Amino acid sequence: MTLSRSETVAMVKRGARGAGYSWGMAEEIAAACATLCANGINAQPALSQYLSVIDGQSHRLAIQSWPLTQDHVCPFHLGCFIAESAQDGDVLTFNGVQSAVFLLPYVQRLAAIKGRNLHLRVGDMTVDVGADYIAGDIILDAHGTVVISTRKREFEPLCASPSYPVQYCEVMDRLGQKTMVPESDESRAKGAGA
Amino acid sequence: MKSRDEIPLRDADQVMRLSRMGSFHQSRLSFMRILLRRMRNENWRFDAPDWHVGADGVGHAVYTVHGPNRAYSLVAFAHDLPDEMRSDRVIATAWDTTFTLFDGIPTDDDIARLAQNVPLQEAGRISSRELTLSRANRSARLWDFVVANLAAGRQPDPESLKTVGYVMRTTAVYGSGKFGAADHDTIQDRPEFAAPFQAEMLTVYLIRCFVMDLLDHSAKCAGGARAVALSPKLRRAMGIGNSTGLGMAPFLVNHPTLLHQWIAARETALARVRQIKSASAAIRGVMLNHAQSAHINAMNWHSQHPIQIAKVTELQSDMVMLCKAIERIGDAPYPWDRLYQWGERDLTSEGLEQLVSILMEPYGDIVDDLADVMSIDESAHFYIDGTQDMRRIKSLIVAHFEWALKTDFSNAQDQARFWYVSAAKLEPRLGERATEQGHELEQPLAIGRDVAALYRAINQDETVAHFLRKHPEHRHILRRVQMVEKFPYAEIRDNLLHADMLPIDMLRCKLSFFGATHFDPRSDRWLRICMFQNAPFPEDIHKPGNWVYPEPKGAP
Repeated sequence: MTLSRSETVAMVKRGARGAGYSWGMAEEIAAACATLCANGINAQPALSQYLSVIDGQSHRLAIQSWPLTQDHVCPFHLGCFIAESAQDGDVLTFNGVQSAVFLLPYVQRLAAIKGRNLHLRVGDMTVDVGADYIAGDIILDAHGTVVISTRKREFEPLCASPSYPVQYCEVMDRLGQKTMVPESDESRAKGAGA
Repeated sequence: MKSRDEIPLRDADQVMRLSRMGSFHQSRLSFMRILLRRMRNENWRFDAPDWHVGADGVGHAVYTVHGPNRAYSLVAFAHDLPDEMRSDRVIATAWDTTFTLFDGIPTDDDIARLAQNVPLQEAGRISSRELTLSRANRSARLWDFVVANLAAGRQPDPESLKTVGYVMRTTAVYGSGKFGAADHDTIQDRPEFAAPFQAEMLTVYLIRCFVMDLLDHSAKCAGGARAVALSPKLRRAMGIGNSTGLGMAPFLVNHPTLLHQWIAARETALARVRQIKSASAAIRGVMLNHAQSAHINAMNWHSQHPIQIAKVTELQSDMVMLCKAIERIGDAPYPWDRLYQWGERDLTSEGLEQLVSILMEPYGDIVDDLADVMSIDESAHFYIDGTQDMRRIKSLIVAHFEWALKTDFSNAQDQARFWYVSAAKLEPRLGERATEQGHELEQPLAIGRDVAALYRAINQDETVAHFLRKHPEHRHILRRVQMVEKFPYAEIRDNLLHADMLPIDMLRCKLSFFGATHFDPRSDRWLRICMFQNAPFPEDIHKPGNWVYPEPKGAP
């Protein structure tokens, strides 16, 4: 069984919010996850693990100052910032990036904004990223120092067809439950009205 | 000075108020009518139903329709539902009928798979071969009444049918990837699904066909040779009911750019018609005919809710005045702009918005193409422009959210409610902040309050990217502020937390775009409606006519 894209987005958004991200960041995380799925990258296991670890502590990995000085940084906060601020430079280096696979959607946006083909390297993970492709050796638990540079594409895109696997739903569901309000006598009485 | 041809679109501050959105009516741009026009224009072909419903009323049927390039099939299941299990609420676990719209023509294996899942609805699972999932319950009293009459060999009293307008009502029509169905973005490149909610509308249209056939089938099983089929006239007067609650309300808030497209299309249509310099006597006659038709519809509109009873009474009076106004409009230039301006002065919101819909009716040639711009790739407008200056954000807030800045959200009345998702039902709900638990888990639907908070948080010149780096809690609302610059109709310009806010206004707006009629609120948060009433069945679909409202006597 697979999920639909809309089910995936809804589930991840709830899960990210349940883990403590703001609503706006939760929207970003859901969109990033969908982008990875659309590029054939099944990052659900990594996302479930990441959100489980960060549950209730996400603010600690938010960007504390710029330039970065912290030991650990959230890939979603960092990704939003580097894409939205349209970071310049032939080579960008960021230390302490957790679950770096989640930077890829934002590097893709940066590539689109800059009109360049980019390359991301972290440990043994090396990936080419353009406005319409993500291609390379994906390592889901890669983390540490990320180097983003300009490079023409050398790898072939991973997968042409999107995939929204149903794995690890229970983690997202558990986190997502934290965004919901248990029934009370009042709510039970009123329901949806219908 | 502006030339007369430059009639602007109505201002968002006028249109996007809940009280006005809660007065919208179906129009040529409603999704049901877009679907029916396409089926007529493209000469869609309908197969005879593949009927497997037994004498006990249990079984399945397949209704296949062929468009120019593809076929779609409604797979309908009829069940034996004890009366005590019949419920319109989301807590229901069984229904009189359940449905899915299949992409193509199902095989026996497909039917077997769907039979295991579709009757379970939310508890089952469909696949990307299916486009929608739906269910419907009988309007028990009327169903039995009609079946008893037909079984006895006579037609039921038309007046008895008129007050309800349907014998079965849907309680959900899920699409867009729900419960495993195909995602909308996988079918939106098909012309037949380019306009919004076309798969859902096709589902309901075919459900209506099935329900009418099931009605005749039940009568025949009960009455044998003595039974008669429902007359074509009464059959056509029957729509499909729908019972809708709070689950639908946040849709308009959660899809701001889509909402803009719908409203902008409607407002553009109005502006185009107002710009018409002259109208022949024949066209004025057609306009009058449509107004008379709307008057009949208003006279047939029954509601039990005090607010709606008052609105319908006003509408009935408005339609009398409107017919007279059209009769005396004369052949001076810009008749429809003059008529609209008269309506702004003399009609209620209900009447004025009915006039907006009526004005489009004779002018399909300049209105119908707007159906092509009512969808949008929402993801293309999702991303935040981080390079924008926060001073610009502040000026956007002043320009588009003045109502929010003027609201005192420390006032208990102005923040009396909160939107949340029920853990038990996984559905949106509305709570009372002062008396109910859970407001800390509020959904991000407090647009006005959050915009005002963003405005207060802006205290230095910096880029959006740097602001959001420090204030991620404002990200969701800043995204919306940037959207509204390009999409001024994207936001409801009212406080969705206010103690007096009526969720049914949001429901009415959305359902009017579906093409629903006979809005009948049952409280401030749920209502019943009718869909496809008076619409042609497949055998008549190619005949022209104003199918939405009843034709006035002597209509051309």
